[in-house]
Amino acid sequence: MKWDLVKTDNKQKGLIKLDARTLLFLILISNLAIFFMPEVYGEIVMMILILLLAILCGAVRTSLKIGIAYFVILISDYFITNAFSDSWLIYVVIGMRYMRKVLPCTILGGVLISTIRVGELMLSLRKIHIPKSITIPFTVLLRYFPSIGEDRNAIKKAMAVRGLNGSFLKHPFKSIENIYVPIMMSAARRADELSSAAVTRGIENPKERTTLIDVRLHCVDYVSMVLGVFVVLFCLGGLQV
Amino acid sequence: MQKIQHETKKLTIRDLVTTGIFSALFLVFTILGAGLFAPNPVLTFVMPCAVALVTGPIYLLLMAKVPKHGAVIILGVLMGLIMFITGMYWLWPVAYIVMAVIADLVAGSRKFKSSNMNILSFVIFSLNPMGSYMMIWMNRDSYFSYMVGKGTEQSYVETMGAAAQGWMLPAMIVSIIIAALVSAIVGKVLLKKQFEKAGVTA
Repeated sequence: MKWDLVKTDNKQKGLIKLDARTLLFLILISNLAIFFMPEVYGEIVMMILILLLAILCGAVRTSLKIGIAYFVILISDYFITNAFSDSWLIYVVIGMRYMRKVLPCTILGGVLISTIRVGELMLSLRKIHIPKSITIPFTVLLRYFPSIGEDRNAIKKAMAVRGLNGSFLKHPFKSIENIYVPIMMSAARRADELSSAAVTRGIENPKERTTLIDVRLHCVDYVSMVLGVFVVLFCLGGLQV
Repeated sequence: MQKIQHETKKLTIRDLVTTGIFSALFLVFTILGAGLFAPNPVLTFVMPCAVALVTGPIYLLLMAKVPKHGAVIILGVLMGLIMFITGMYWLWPVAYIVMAVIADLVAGSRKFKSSNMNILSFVIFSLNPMGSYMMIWMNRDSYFSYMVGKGTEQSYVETMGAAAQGWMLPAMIVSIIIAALVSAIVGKVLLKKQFEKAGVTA
């Protein structure tokens, strides 16, 4: 039986599909590598390879956008550094550099978010022995996250009915109250409902949970992990020679 | 069969779900606060202050709903996990967890009932983005010579280092503390005025 047909949420599909653990591992090593990178060339090489990997995984559009942003920031950094090295613009450079160094890992994160289903991520986290007291709140967080937007729309309409829209400058504290109180009230109510539902469906069952999804490390996962380690070591040390 | 636990000290499933939902709210407000400032090179250093300014009420209500050891640590771990997945610097998730443990101990010293201790714990928790900005100061020399490489004039590196070292770090910490205090006091007033009356707090 093809369980793929049963799944309703569609995720992007690329030439290869990496496991969540592989992506987490790659994020970790490239994060560390960019932190300790001695020269900018290694970072550029890593960025290009990460872009290639992201395109292979099928997250084309967002990765290209972030990639373009990265090179724009890089070029303007280079330009400002060489042209206006002693003006206030160096503050801008500090900020830009800080932002730029986040972007390579953001691409990998984007791949994880756009290709891995929530269920698969949870199963992977369980397989690397993350305790239940973390995975249960994490699942709840990911499931509840989209419905906050709905709540926000409902609150906006309710405020409009009472004629409270756009009066932030006149009554700042009242506006804060009007946003926070209903959102937090509805969160508290949903927490009660959701926990009753979860207990009813047997979340307290101490037995190992079974799953329809097959989460395993495939050949491509091992290859990309090993390649990742080599690339990081090469970029950290080899380029200086 | 294992016995289902009824002790109040341990986190029950209800507490875990509540923590998860409030972490989601915390994440949304963090994104709202950060989204205004983070993608702007000049204002990126104001980001932690803005985040601290909007998340106080949620933190305090979480403490009022789940007054047990562990809730804040779970919040910190989840936020750290999300920051890690979205590719932030590895020191930020680490700082999230460390600050969460400290904040948990501080608030726990009064059994999560004293509002002053809870406010102090929120201020400590709000300092977590410093973990991310710390990298600018930790390996400063490599950070500043990074772009220009070897053989650039030393004056540039010195100007850059002086700019980042002089006042930015203390200014950021002070601004975060002030913003967190304001936010927590607003949160305390909201709790008193609305939630305790409605019986939402545990």
